[in-house]
This record gives sequence, C-alpha cells and structure tokens, in this order.
Amino acid sequence: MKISSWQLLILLFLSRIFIAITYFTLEDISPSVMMSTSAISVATDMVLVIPAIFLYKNYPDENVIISAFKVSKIFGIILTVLYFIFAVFMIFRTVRFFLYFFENAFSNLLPTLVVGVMLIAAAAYVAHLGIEAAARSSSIVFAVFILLLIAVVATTAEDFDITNYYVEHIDTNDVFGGIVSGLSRSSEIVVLVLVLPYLKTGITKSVYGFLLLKLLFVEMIILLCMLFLGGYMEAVQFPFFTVCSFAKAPFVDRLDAIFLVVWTLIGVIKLSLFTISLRPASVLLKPLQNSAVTNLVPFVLGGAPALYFAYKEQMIIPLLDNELTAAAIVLLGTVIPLVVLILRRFKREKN
Amino acid sequence: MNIDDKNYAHTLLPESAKDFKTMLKAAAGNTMDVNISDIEVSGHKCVFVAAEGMISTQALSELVFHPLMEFNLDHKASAEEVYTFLTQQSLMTIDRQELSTFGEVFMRLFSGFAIIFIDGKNKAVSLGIQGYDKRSIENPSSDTNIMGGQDGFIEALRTNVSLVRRRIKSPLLKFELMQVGKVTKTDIAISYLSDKVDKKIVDEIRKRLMDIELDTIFSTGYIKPFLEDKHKSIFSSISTTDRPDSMCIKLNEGKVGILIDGTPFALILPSVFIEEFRTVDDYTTRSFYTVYIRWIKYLSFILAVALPGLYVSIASFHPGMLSHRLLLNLVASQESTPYSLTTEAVIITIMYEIMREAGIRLPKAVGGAVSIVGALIIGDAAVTSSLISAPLLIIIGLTATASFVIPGLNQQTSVLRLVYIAVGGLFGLYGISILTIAVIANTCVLSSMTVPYTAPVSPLTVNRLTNILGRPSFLRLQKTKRRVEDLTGVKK
Repeated sequence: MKISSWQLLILLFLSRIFIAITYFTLEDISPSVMMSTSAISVATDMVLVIPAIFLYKNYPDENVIISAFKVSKIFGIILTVLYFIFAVFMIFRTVRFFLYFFENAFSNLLPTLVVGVMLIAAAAYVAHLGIEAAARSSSIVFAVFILLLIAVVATTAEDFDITNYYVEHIDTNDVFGGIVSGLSRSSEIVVLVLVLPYLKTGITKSVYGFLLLKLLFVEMIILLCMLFLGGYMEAVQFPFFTVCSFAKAPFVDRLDAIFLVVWTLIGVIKLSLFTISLRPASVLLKPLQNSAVTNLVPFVLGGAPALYFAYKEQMIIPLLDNELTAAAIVLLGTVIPLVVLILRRFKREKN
Repeated sequence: MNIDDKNYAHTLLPESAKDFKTMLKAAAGNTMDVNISDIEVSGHKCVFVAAEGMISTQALSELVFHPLMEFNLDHKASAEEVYTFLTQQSLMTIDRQELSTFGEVFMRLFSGFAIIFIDGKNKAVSLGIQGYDKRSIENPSSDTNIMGGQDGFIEALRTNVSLVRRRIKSPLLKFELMQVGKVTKTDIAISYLSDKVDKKIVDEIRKRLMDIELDTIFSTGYIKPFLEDKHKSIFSSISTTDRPDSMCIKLNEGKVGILIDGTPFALILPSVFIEEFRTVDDYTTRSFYTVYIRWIKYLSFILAVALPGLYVSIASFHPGMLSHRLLLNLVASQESTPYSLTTEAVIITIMYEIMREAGIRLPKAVGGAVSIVGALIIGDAAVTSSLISAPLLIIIGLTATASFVIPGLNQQTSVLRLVYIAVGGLFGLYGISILTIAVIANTCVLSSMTVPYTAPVSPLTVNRLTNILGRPSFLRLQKTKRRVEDLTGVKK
C-alpha cells in the first residue's frame, strides 16, 4: 500500500490547515506580523524536515522507528513508545480542540460526548481502512475545501476593506513567538518521519510542496480575515469561522454550517493520520497491526481524556501554542531522525 | 466398469457401443431428457445421443443425418473410416470435437451438441447443432438509450458472443470459454482485446474464476464477490451492462468483459465510479449537450443521496441557513403535521421504496397502476390530510426522480438516502459530515485489479479529467489511447 507524493502532500496539508481555519492567536501581535511570522515559521520547517528527507532517500522503505530497530532493538522499542505517546497526545489535543471549537461555535447543537464519540469513531474507521483510503479521501476533501474557500471569498469580496491591511514593525520576540507558535502546530513534521514507508516516490516534492501550500493558504486565510474583519479580527477567537458566518450565498443565508461540514471532514482526516502513521512502526504488534482493536487503542487513550476535559471545560489553549509541544516536535521530527541517520551510517561503516 | 453420477467425469469411453450405452445410462441415471439411438453408418454400428429440446431438428436432419446416409462405401465401413469421415471429411458442422471421456460427453451433450459414438473406437464426436429455445434479441432493459444500438444481450452465451464479435471484427478480440460451478458447469466467456488489456488482469481473473467452488452459477451476482479485491465497500468495482456496444467501448479501454450463460448481463472490470454516469448516448450527442447532461447526472446523484437528509438536518438544526421567507413557509407547512420532520421523511422514503419495489416486481401493466396509486392517491391524500408536509413530498419526489438518472447506483442511493435522513435528523449537519467522510473513505478503499474505484479523481490522473468534466471530442479521442492501466495512479 503506497501513496503518491501528491497524496502525501494533501494529507499533510489538510492536517495542518485544520488548525489554521479554526483558530489562530493574536495576543499582542497584529495580523500583518502574524503573516510575516508564518512565513518565517515555514522557512524554519523547511530546515527541520531535512533529516526526514535524508532518511527517506537512504532508506525508502523504512520510517524512523523501523530504522531505529535496525540500530538496536532497545532503541527501537524506546522510539516506538515515544512516538506512540506523541500520537496519543496529538489525538487528545485535536479532539479536545475540536470539542472546544464545537462548543463555542455551535453551542447547544449536540451533547459534547456525542460529538466526541462520533468524531473518534469516524477517524478510527478511516484509519482502519488504511492509508490509501485516507489519501484518496483527502484529495476529495481538499477539493471540497477549495470550493468552500472560493465560496467564502466570492461572497465576502464586496465587503473587503483594503484599509484594514497595515504593516507593523516586527521585533525579535515576535519572530521567536511566531516560530514557537508555528512549530507547536506543525505536528506534520513528526507524522512525516512515520509515514515515509507509504510514499512511492518524490519526497522532496511532497514535503516542500506541502510547506509552500501551507504558507500560501495560511497567508491567504489571514489576509482574508484581515480584509473582511479588520480590527474586529483581534476580538474574535475563530476569525475564519466568523467570516464564514457573515458570508451570504444566494441559496444559503450563512456559510458557517457549510464550514462545519468541511471542518469536520478535515478533522477526521487529521485524526486518522496519527493512527495510520503509527502502523508501519508497530513492528512489535505485527499480528495485530491492522486489527480494529489496535486501531482503536490510540483513539481511546487520546480521546477519552479529551472528552473528560471537555466535560470539565479544562485544558484548552495551553495545548496549542506552547514551547513544550514545539520542543517535542523538533525532537521527534528532526533530532531523533538525525540521530538515527548518524547511528545507521556509523553502524554501516563499522560493519 | 462401474460408473455412476459421481465418477463419470474422468471415465474413459469404452470401445463397444453396447458398453457405451450401458455406461451412459448408468451415469445419466436413466434421465428422460437424454435420447439414445442406434444408427448404422455405411453398415457400421454407431450410437447417436442428444439432449431433449437442446438440438435443432432441422440442423440434425440436414447437417447430420443426410450426410451420414449419403456416406455409403462399397463395403462395410470400418470404425476408423467412419471416424475419419465424421472428423475430417464431412462438412456437417464447423463446431465439432473429439471426445474421450464421459465428462466431455456430458458437458457437450447438455450444451446442446449431438454426440456420435462409433463402435470399436473408444472415442465420440460432438457436433454443434444447438437449437434450444431462446429469447429473441430485444432492446436492453436496464440501460436504454436513444441514438445508440437497440439490441441487448440475451440469456444465450453464444448469441451474446456473436453480438460483441459483430461489432469488433478483429482477431485481437478474444473469448476464453470456461465452466464454473461444480454442479451447473455454467459456461463463462472471458473477453478482451489482446493488444489493449493488461495480461496480468486476465490471468488474475482466470485464476479467480477457476478457484470458485460454488455449486451453482445463475447470475452475475454469484461471481462478482470472487472478482472484487476488497469487500469492505458498499460500492462495487465491477459494473454490469446488457448492451453489447457498451461492452465493446469498455473492451477498447483495456477492460475485461465476462459473459455468463443464462444471464443477459455482462460483467465489466475493472470499473470506476465515474463510469456509472456515462452512457452510449454520450458519444452520439453533441459535446456541449453531453457535458450538460453529465453535470445533471452528478447533481442528480448528490440529490438522490443527500437532499432529504440535508433538508431534514438544516430545517431541524440550522434554520439560520435559510432565508426568512423560506423558513416561514417551512414552519407553516410543518405546523399542521403531527410528526417530526425526520419521522415524516423516514416514513415517506420507506413508502416510496415499497412502491418502487412493488412496481419492479409486478407485471409492467400492474406496475404502472402502483405508480398511480402511490403518486396520486397516497401522496395527495397524505398532504391533504396533513400527515405529510407538502415541501417534504416535493423533496422526496425530486429525490426519487433524481435516483432514476443513475440506475447503476440505485442500490447504494436507496440505502444511503435513508441513512442520511436518519443521521441528519438525529445529529444535524455534523452527523451528515461524519457520515459523508465515512462514505467517501468507504468508496475510496475500493479497487479492482489495482485500479482505484475513485480514479481518475483520486488518485488524480489529469489527462483523464476531461472525460469527467466534459467529453473529449472524437478528434481528440482518435489521437489518444485510453487504457484502464493509466488510472492506477502509477506513472509508467
């Protein structure tokens, strides 16, 4: 089961755009500064993905965990546990974030428990069907997302105010804050080092294509919100959703419900990707590699606490833009793959 | 030698005519439909065997008995001379075969061949003079069109083979015959264009068909599951057609057709989702009109599956999406009905399915009456008595009509429609989204012989998109070679 570079690009892109279309912080920084820091953050990502690219070019059928097992079994087991914990954490974060947004944007629509269970069940189902099904689905979801974006732009364009766009000076704190914020949202760098064995060819095209597409769309979304909302943008928590709520199409009075549909589709793809990315690494669980139960384990471990905290209305924003998450992403997405590469080369030369 | 209906298949034919008759009767268990007659050909003893009602009496008289009677040597013919005459010198029929086991004898006998056994020679000769009753060629029942050919497949395999062959007069068109079904020994023909098809696909299909261990094969549905790669999807990556011209178009794309004796439908594989929206008429009308109709069909599919579900979910959970005037109309229509919108939608959808099923199973004349009862009496009365709201009836009516536009996906649209209503009514657009991604993934997981069911959309094959968004002109079609292998998503 292999996927093309384009399919991987879209999978990673949807995973990343999920947060971008939902929420972005504007604490003390203006939208124009955010646009600049986003660009700097993408430039940082371009450097951080280099070990993943080298890993694929040297060992195209292995991911970081399989490679680690070839260095030593203990090392492999440690990494399996580390990446598993990370995947569970990301599932927890995504589900919690999803529920937080749902409660705030679509209050009283459905009980939180129902929303969470349905989301987890759908993601587990997609993950069970495998990477090919997820990748092919993601292309269709991507097309739907583009249609939504076109619809939003087309229906709000007449209300754009160019004077809402203004440029501000960026200081070092902004740059650092932007990089940390960008990194803590870039779990795809870690997903990438896990899904490498699924890729047919074209790692560079996938990775840099994804980063450029991410940059393009994140900038576009910030600009769209900025031109439409102006100063009001800093007062709302979900700017893109707010734009959709104001958008009025000929047949539909508001586009926010349409946004809900697209956003849910993307959320399911993002969640399933974490479990799918673990699959080639679950060398130790080979007989149970794709059983429905094995697929459910990360969802239960990550989803159950997310539902609990959602019920208690705890653990929301600190999960998203913090240094610890950013550090974990750099460690698992860049440092460890680099160490594995060096150890593999060292071992080869020794042999 | 002891022979019965269990061990006959590999039992060799005896030398004597007497033994042959005894063994044949023992193996056939004195069934009434096997006629056995002794005849003499130029003084030599032979046995003639035919199945009741399976051969043409005219052909038997003109092509077999008449030449045999004229075969008069000036001496009593030997077994070898009769055998040589039957197999090499006469022109009785082109389709003749030497048989050496009882298995071969019964296979040919029950396929409508006449069998002549020659005393003293442990071999028999089968002569193709089939003449069983069959339905005449008629308009295709399920895939009708306006401008294309008006002949459809029938139940007789050999007639269907000839319908395809008549359209592709090339030696590149191959038909491979095999028997499947341990009891029925149903004739199945695999057909393909040898220069277009991927040989691996043919080998795989042949292998899968030979591995089938079912006792009986009576329709396409019996062998479909054995040819599909995965069984997790609600869709099928194998399409069916009862149109020879449609099958020829698919064969020219490198696909494989499977004809089954006893059914007027051919299986085509590998098949992709988007092909369900194409008809032969697409290639007989002007390009602009084909494009227009294709988009109508895409829209119809979405309406057929999701419109009632969307209506129920929006009206129940997201009324803010609707304009005030529309919303007021809906509220006014709902106020007089006793049930919730979801319950109403479920009831009327099930009622529609009952009437549709009744219309299909009943004779055509009565089927029309069912439609009238459904549409005029029940529908009208339900609205008048305020059991069902008028807008919902319009929605269901529109949905039902839309589902007729894509008959190939009728099974899926019927079930999905009801599921969408239930989920939309219970969970709103959020439920619709969750269901949609599950359906998308369920569709995307399907592939047949390495060709993804969702190709060429996903995985994306850019140069094949023209045939989805519109229809390439014949000027362009003649310059491009379209093969199903191009849809695998692997660049070659």
